Amino acid sequence: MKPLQARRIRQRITPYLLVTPTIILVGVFVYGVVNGVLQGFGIMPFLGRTELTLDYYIEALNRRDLIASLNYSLYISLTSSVLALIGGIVLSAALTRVQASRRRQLLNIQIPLMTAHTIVVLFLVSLFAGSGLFPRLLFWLGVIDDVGVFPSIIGGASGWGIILVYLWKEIPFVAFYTATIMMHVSSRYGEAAETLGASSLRSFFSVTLPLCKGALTKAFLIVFAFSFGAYEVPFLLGPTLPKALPVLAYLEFQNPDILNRSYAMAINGIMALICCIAALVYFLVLQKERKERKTDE
Amino acid sequence: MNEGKQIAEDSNSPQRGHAAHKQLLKKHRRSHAWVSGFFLIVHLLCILMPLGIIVTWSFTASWPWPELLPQEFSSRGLVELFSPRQGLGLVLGQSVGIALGTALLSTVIATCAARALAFHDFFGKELFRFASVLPFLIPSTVFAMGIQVLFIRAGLANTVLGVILAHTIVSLPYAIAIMGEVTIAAGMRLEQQARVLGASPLRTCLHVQVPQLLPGILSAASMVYIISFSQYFLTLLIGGGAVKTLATVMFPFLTSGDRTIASAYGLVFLLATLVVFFLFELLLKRFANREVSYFEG
Amino acid sequence: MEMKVQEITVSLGRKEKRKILDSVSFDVREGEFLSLLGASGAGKSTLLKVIAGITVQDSGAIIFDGQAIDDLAPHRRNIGFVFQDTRLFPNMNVEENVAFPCKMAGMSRKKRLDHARHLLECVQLAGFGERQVTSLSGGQQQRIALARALAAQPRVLLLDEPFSGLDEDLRDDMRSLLLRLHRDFGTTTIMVTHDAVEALEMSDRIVYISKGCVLQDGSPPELYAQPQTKEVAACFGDCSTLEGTVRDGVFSVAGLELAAESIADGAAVAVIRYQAVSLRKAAKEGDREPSQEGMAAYQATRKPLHIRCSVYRGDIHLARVDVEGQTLTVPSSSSFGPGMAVDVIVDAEGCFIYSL
Repeated sequence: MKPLQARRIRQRITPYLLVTPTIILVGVFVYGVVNGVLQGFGIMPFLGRTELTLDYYIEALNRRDLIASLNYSLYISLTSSVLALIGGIVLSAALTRVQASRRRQLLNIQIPLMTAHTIVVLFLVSLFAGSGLFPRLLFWLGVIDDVGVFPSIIGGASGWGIILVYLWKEIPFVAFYTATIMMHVSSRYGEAAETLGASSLRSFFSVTLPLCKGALTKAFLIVFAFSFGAYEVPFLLGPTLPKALPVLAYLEFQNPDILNRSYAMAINGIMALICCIAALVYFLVLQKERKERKTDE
Repeated sequence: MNEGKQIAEDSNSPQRGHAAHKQLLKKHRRSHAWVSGFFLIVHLLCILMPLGIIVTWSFTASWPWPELLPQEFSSRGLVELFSPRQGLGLVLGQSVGIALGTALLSTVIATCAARALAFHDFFGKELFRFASVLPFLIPSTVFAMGIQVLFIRAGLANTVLGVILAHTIVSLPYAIAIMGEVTIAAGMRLEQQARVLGASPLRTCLHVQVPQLLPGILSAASMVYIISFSQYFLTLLIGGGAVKTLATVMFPFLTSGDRTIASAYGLVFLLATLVVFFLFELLLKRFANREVSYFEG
Repeated sequence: MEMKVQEITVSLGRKEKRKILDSVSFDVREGEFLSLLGASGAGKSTLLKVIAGITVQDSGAIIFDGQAIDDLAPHRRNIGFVFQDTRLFPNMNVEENVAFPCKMAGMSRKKRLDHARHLLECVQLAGFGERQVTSLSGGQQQRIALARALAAQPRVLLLDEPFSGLDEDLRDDMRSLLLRLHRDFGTTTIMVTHDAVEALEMSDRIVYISKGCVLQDGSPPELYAQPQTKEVAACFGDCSTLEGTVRDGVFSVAGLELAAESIADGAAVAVIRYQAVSLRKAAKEGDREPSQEGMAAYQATRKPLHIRCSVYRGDIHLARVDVEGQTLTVPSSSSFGPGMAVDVIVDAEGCFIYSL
């Protein structure tokens, strides 16, 4: 009986061995986040501080520029992620519709996916900055009559430049995240709905889209969290005031005064909290999908 | 062979009705397909036009407002970039090295995690599934500022290894998502078959699993490569000034006045990602085509 | 090779344990062709996987030639396994597939490819060695899977529903091929099937499994002529099942009476094979012959039964006889009209009665 048990145990521990490296890395990730958040509470053992204080958070929330930054970041990321979701659904549906070949997907999805955000900033600056191609075109058409009349993409408080960068990147990302499942769902149930008399548009809205809801929600949350917490784009294109949260946090983080570091971490804590809400929703979606998988069996 | 023919004939008759039905559906679909096609073309233009402008700018010597076309071309941008003074070759080599290292590490770890999620039942599986996507949802800026102290104390800050490790952590969710899909699609069938025919776990992995998962492995690796190659903030914080990558070196130039230099950087950056991306695609075609058609067919 | 399966128990599910196999035991003799027969979900395939080592049992032992192999990983057991879905490796051509077990056993390249070609001849696919597996038909693929399973001279050949993915006319060819290979190679073989006729045709012995337990273990004629449970009796198809009661050695339902010696009084069920019953027009009252008990065939009806309907089946008609709401199906050369009164003649050899 003994050898049998040895095999059973070996079989049982296999999954734990397989997940160990991931757990270590994710552990480091969580440690980093928690450590940052704790520094916001004034706990910095490496400096001999271990007392928990809410001072930094209170101070942070009382500063007017932080509230403005928070609003600005939320505005940018919500606008970008909602528009990216809509655009992504359309793109994904269009790809499904024309039964896009691999090469087609490569161009429409892979090129944006593989282009860094910073490069996209460069694109948009070349196109829309005061002396960019687009204002030149408008000038040539006689719509504007001088440099600088066109609303600047760099430093504009409206943030449309930032949003545009995110859209250029994330619409294809949403499509990438959902196109496979949408093609699958569409060929399986969409066609069935159409043979039952639903128009193709109706079958899309009443069958295909609801069945992709999980994937769409997840893609939305990922885009939201990313555009909320990313540093590069708002740093390059954002206005001097209000600064996006990550930009503000890093600015304080760089300050040699250790108090500012805690202040930076308090800002990070606020960002982490908002993203945790997104993560919670993500978790609920996962749970729901799991239940549905179970009933499928 | 007689029996092969028999099968072909047998399977033909019941499918004929089905095929006719499909034909009808296709016709019906095609009538609306041009809308989607048009949309895709517009989207494609939005993707490709900025690329064209970057290429143009990087070879432009003079393009005064409000001309629609550059007035003078030169290779000044690229020449200056690759002048020995800049040391760009080294930076490029380091960027590619870091990205390849990250791709390797992340893909291997993700393959293990995906396997555990696909085939094993273990304690805390759903929590693990959730934890593995956390880096998707909590901004890497928060993580980067929080983990810096740990990396400094562990001697990983300002080292290539530290940067690879940090990049692996944030790219892991992408790799796990891609590997998860292909692992489930591949299933245990061939693996079990190999084992009962006398293949040890190691040789099963070599002769069966790796060839079978190759498409997924390559696409996960290329995705991670691009993510790592594009990292700015994380590289900046973990690598300090010591680890220079193209993304960090290029950053200050992006919104600077010298559009030619900025575009030249952008061009080099794009080429570096494109070359590796198409290398992966080529490998995929070369080694994985047979399997892909088999598993899809 | 001689093999023993001893009290194998397997349960699945982490929270509520469900027993897939419940203390299954049987022996396999050297060179025997044994079929594991049973409905789908009975646990046959799981048992095969336990023998192969893919699934680890909760308790019990598998013994090869007197030696327990439970501590051996699948690849050390030296078995051949053919799955229903062929499972050829798509990244290897035909002969590389067939040579795979030999490669794993460490045979040199030239030797194993020669061996593979020889095996391909044995399964009538000489010259197919260089082909890609995807270019082949289902039957050809299954033959390659068979050749591959036999390549490393396994101690036991395990087959999991090997032909159920194939067309009916192909299956017969495959069955005779498999029997010929079994004769030539003499490999001890265990085949899982849900097709009772296939099991009868091919096996030296049949083990009938239902809901994780062995119901009967015997030669094909034993299972066919002396099925020990209702399920085994009914598994060969083409039969009617009637519920009724037994009193004093007679099973009766709605005027139908069947000899049921040595069956305890009480509720019972009768399984009546098609070929064991026939009909004749009901005789007028008074002309009835008394039932001739003790003889092979006898009239079983005390009073006439009525035809519900009749269906055409090519060479014969099947008459559905109403037995108080239950149905007795009887083949006949001519069609009986609905409502017709009939008497039923029963042959004791194809009629089995079990207490409920």
